[in-house]
Amino acid sequence: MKVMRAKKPVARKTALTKVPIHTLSTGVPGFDEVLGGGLPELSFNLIAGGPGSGKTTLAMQILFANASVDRPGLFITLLGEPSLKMLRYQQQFDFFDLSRVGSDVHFLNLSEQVLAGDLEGVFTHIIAELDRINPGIVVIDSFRALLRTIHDENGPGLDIEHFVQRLALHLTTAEVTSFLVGEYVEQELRNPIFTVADGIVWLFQAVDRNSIVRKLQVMKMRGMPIMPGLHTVRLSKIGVQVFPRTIERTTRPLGKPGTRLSTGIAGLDAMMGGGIPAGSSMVLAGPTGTGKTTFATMFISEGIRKGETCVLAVFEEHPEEYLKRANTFGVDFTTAIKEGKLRIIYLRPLDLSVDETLEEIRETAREIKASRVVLDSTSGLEMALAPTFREDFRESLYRLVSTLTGLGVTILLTVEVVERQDGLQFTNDRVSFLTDIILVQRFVEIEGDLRKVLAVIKMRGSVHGTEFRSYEITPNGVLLRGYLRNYSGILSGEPVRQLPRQLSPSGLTEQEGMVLEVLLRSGAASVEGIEQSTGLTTVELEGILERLTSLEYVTHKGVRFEGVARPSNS
Amino acid sequence: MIRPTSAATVVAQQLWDREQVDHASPEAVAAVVERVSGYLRIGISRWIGADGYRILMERALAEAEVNHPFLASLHSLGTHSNGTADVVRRKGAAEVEQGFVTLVGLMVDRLGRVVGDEMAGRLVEQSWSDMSRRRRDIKSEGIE
Repeated sequence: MKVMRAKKPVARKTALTKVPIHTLSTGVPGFDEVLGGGLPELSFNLIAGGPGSGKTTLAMQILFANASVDRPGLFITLLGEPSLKMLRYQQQFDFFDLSRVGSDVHFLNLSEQVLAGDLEGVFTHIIAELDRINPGIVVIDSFRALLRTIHDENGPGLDIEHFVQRLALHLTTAEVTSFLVGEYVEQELRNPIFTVADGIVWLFQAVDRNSIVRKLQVMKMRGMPIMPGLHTVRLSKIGVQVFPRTIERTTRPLGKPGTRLSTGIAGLDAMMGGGIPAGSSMVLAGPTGTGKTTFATMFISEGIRKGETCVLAVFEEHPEEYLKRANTFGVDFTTAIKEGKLRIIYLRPLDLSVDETLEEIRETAREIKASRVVLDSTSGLEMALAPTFREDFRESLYRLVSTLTGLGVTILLTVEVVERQDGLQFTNDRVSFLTDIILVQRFVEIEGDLRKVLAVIKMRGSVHGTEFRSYEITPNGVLLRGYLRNYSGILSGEPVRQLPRQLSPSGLTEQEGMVLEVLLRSGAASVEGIEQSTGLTTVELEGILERLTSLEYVTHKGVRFEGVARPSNS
Repeated sequence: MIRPTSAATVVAQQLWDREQVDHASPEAVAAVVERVSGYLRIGISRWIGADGYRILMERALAEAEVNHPFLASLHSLGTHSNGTADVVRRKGAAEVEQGFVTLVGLMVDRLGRVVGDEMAGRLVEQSWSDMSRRRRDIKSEGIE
């Protein structure tokens, strides 16, 4: 025997089969993700938390999700919320299907036995019910009240640990997945029940100014790669929803590598090396009045024009206002919404969590297979959050952006910044670090005129222009004007005109110089190409090209124009 | 006169009718009263607790007694069989049935106002089917 064992260790090893631990879906949106895939079958779990934190609802929702006629769910009420009231209120939730009550969902009230201090009676009743209805899932609510009552009746000498262990063993050997629900506090973590339990789910509730914030933490779940940390919980008509703190990144982005998306603003794509790389994130930062929403509108409008689907999340203006504003630029979002090309998300302010926002945007983007998402604005989003969540804003926003870009979505975030005398605070320090592209806007004073200028100051992994360029918000949207090449000190807000450079010969207007420079840099370009680069209209270009040709700065072959470099006259 | 809703009356009347009462026998009528009372008490207490059931029944009784004072003497339902049979002899099977159906109907009605009529109907139905199952089990065990 010994020889055989020694000779065939591998064969012996393969003959052993480890017991597979199957998981059950909780039926609670987001909760399976937090649990690392679901609830381990036959586990003995504890749901703890203060009053009103959603313990009973969470347990009931899991019960309904897993009960069947063959293996019903059994909800045992010991003490605490009277069953009559519990049944009254729980049936308001969507998951509570009245037609299943009595067939695959059963209720049992043992408050009389508990009040009599009859621990053994409680135990016997529970075991009898297990034999009678053969449940697959059992909830005991409130277990904390049972232990307290028994303790009061019998004194501290009672072997509660033994009781808990016996109960856990009976439930597991009866092939039951079970939940004990109780109002525990963290100081009670030494309670034997916490040692025996395979899983511990803790629910928290806090009132923060005018917001109720509910969170959930899985403190322990044997055999499962749980998602650590506190996760936001919402209680609504559908029951409990969990918004996992960390969202998985998809490995299959929607965009093709190398694809660039047009901003919808003539000339801006050229400044960005051909447009926004698909699946990247861009922050558009500027002070109030610089047209951030107009840029965002044009970005979305361009996507719709090209047959893409888009999501627009607004946090400041009501969608109706947004649609009206877009209409003034000739952008018809109403039709796009009707055709399913655009989804506008307007999130109720003041008690949002970023995780809820993320979930809403992520699901919408997935549902309509969006390629463009705009968040207008992140400053508004931050204001819409419950105060508690503002503390985690930067981290949460990072998760939001990385999730969306991980899905292959190109995301544009607008950020309001403050202009200062000593320069421009380029972007809100909370968001600037997390995006691939930063486009900054600001006001400058040039010869008594207040002008708007923009520059691409960061573009991860891509060549881009570095010059400031002026622009206007016109009835047709954003119109890019000339580069501010002959100025210095733009960041101060009061640029100073410099002597013209060699490429801007004297006698040429600013626009003529700009067109000439585009041609000299590109070698040759069509009128359409020059339009794209300069933002000038065809009519404007016709006059400029005619004059540049007559001055022999430009020649043309067919439809393409070429610049002729000559020393400046000045 | 306080009456249960028609839906609750139907539920209560069905419980009575299922027992196929022999009205000629006061003992048989008394047995039905006690049997139905017993399984409602056990069945509904399982769901909402003994206290919950007791309170509902007390309130229903207070209302039903106005028109059926004899119900007070049936309140010990399930424990004094001889007493119940005496009441049936004194009042007649038809009145006992009417009073009892009213009492159960009012209890179902009150239960329905808290947990909804559909849930209340289900709890009552579940109580009856649990008891029927047990009776079948006992019978089959007896045959074996």
